[in-house]
Amino acid sequence: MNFKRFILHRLLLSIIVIFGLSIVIFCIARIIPGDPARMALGATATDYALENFREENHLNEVLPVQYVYWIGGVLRGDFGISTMTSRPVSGDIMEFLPATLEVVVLAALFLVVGSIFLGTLAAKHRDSVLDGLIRVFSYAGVAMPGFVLAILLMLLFGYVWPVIPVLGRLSHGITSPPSITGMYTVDSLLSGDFKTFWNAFLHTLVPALALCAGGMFQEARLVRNAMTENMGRDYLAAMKGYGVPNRLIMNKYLLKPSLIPAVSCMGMDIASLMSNAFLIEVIFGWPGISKYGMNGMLAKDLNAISGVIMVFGILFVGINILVDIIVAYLDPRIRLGGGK
Amino acid sequence: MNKIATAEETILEIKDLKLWYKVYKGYSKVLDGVNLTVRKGEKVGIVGEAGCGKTTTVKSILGIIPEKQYLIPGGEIFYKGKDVLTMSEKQINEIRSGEISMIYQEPSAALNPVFTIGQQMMDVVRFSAQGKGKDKKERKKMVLQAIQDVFIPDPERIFHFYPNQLSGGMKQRICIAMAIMTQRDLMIADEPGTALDVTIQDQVHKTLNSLVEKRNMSLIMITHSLGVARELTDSINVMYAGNVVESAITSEVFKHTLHPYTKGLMEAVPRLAGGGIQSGIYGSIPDYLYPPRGCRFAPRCPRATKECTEKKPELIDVGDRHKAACFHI
Amino acid sequence: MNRRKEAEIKKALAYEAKRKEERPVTSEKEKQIENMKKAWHKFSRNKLSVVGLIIVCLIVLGAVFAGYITPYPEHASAYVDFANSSKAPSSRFLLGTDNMGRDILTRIVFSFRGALYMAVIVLLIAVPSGVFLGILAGYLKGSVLDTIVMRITDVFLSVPALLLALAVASVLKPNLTNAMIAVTVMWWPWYTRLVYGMATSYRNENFVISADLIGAGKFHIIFREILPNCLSAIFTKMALDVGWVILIGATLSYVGLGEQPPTPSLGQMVSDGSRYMPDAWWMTVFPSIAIIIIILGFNFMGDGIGDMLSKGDGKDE
Repeated sequence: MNFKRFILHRLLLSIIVIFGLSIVIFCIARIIPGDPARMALGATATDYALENFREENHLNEVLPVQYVYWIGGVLRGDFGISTMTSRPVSGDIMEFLPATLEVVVLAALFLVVGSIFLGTLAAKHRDSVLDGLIRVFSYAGVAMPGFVLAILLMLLFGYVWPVIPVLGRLSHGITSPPSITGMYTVDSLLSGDFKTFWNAFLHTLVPALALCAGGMFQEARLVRNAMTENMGRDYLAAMKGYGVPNRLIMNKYLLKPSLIPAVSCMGMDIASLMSNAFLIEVIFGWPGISKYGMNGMLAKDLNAISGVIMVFGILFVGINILVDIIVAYLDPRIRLGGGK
Repeated sequence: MNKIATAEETILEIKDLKLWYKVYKGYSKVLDGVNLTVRKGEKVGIVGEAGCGKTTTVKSILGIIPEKQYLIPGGEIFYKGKDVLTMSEKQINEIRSGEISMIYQEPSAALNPVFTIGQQMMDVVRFSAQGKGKDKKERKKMVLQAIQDVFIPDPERIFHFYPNQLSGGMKQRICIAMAIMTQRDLMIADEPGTALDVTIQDQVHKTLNSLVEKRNMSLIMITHSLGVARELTDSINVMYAGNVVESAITSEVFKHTLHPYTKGLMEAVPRLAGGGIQSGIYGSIPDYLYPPRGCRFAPRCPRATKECTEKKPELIDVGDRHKAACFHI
Repeated sequence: MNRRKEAEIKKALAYEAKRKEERPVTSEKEKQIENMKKAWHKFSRNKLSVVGLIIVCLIVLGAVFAGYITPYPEHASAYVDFANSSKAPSSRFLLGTDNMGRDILTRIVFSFRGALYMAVIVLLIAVPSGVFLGILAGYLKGSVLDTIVMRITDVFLSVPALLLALAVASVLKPNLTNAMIAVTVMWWPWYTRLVYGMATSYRNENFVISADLIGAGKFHIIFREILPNCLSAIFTKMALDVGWVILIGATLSYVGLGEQPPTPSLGQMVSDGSRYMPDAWWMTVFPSIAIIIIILGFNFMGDGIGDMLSKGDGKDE
């Protein structure tokens, strides 16, 4: 069937993309900054130490050879040693990634459910107060950088109205659940500790909200616009003309084709949730991979930077494949090829 | 529906219907007093060039022009004696689901691309007057029967197809199948088959015609071709720029053509038996934002006089069921 | 529902009765004026576009004349006045002062300079290069060049702009120029993809085929036939992108990878101010609002430009 070939094709492309990305990251980390040995060891390092470092990390070879060494390590899951934590980067990533995934997955869930719900509502009550409100919020979502929203939410829930905890992953006095997946909410559920789950969930709430709010309102707007645009289509007029009730036309015949453009954008949005996490995690003191990466950037820890971006790149590509498959599932025109 | 109806009973009557579209800087006066009568069992043609308001007229019967874009500043549409323009959404939906059925102009636009033929047809049956209360199996039987009725082999297979897996002719047939799935009293066909090549168009017309006759429905057939109208209809209404300019029994229109526009249309038809393309009509339909004050055809009319540019001619009786709107007949 | 909307009909009839005198225009000059009027109508049909235009004008004027209109121009540099440090908004300091005693309003207006400068430079470099690559790859679809360019584009688009910009900026020396380089590196692929899509579809259109048939050169076809048809989409995206570039610039300066102190930048003001939250809220809140307003302004205006350049006469809405 065409569908299988389509997925295979996408997977193949993704491998090329990830390979290309590794070259870009290598260039960023090795070519731009000048002497990586100096950057790693600092201004006070002796010549002997520098030479040793270069030898150890193959920095005396020509660039393509260096790349081969580096990508060979990456393929084995070895991103080198972080100069910041003095531990293998891959170990750091394994430790910090689950916390990030926890927030991002919740934010993505909010984004998808919220945008479809609000978008449909706005389209149904076109030009109503609600529609206007969603429009205003979507504009605010476009215009408000993630860090501003995070600070405002921090101000709101940290000082003005402290009903939801905003700092860290758990409150004081609550011990972290046994590590199974590394995601506290999932782990506490798996071990049946509902108190810890609720606490962990509450801590996830505000960061997730800060992450998804902007995208959610924009996507809601997209869903709304796709719906109002499709409202003029002949196939809906036809359905209406055959006496199919409005409710069904709206929720079925209008919604499905209208979701297709929004879903492809949501993939992008969910991917950029992760890059926004870079700022949000720092602000909320969330010990995730983004905070780790951000600190790595500020400390010019090249191995940490390339490791984190590589992992993110793979995640993005994965999400995009997933979204493509969902879109293809929703849209038979893609799934079954061009028709005649 | 109504068994004691006589042959002469009027099923649909449009009286002086005006419809304006909202556009940038004003209202585009697309319909400027349309008059149309459809009798029970009659096949009525609406003929005119693109943009003359044929489709708008029939869509306004069913009330399926998007709400915010238009106004109806005057006129009435009586269906079986009741004015549909004053009906509630519920009442008009009853008409849509049980009385009138429409085949849309562009088959690929009239079918939802992301649902299978079966899914769409099942929902149409489900809410039709006849399909209500029937279980899924029976409804599916009705759908498959309808697909078979439009001469598509292997309906079970087509049932699971998406529209873009079908050819244009097949899509058009499916549209017809959807419209004839349940018994209706009036069928509106908006240029069926125009998008197809001539031989397939001909098949589609034949299919449609036989179904309408078999089921004793009334038909409004929209077409831009007098030839098609001659073949398929009992009476013809020629429309120009939002007006019906001539209306008569089909044979009468061809025998005693009265309106200059109709004459122009006929001359524009290339004849196979010598002569080639005749004079036709010069110019194009007027800008509805700034329509001519008098007869809308006056700027293109070879017989226009001062009177024509100032006063609008009424559609008047000029013979046995023959009406025309022109000062010079 | 009754489809006789009596009130609306009355209004429409009255409107139409008045409109009668207006007639279609014929002369060239009148047509030009008419087209401009129509463009303005399409732009201003959405009131927000007009609001955006006004905001943008004010911000540009403010940035250009910052030295004349701000109350304390000297506060835009390394000025220290501990006597007035961390003052709440008052008639003397409308938006309060920061921890160094500098007027926040002044610093906000001055920071527009860097923000606009960055947006203009980034787009001036990224857009032409992105468009050039896209149109070339699109016209030569199927060639080796197409494959190389589009795969590179895919690579850049596979990671959100902010992340790679952060990475590039972080390995460079932190300053405005390097921030601009980082953002530019991230920006061109969007235009490449946009134009690529259009160019691949236009190359099969009749106007390109006929130009090819009468012997027009590749250069002519690409720049005279295809490019003009892509312009409205490019300009629409550019107008919206100004806001995005400013947003990413603010984010970079928030983490300290943009404009360096003492030159004011919005992101850095937010980040400095957030250390004095919630007591000295004005240090954070006003620069945040300034960021939101500037981005909103460009977005509103961008939407309006999109409406203006869109085809059709805007029958709906």
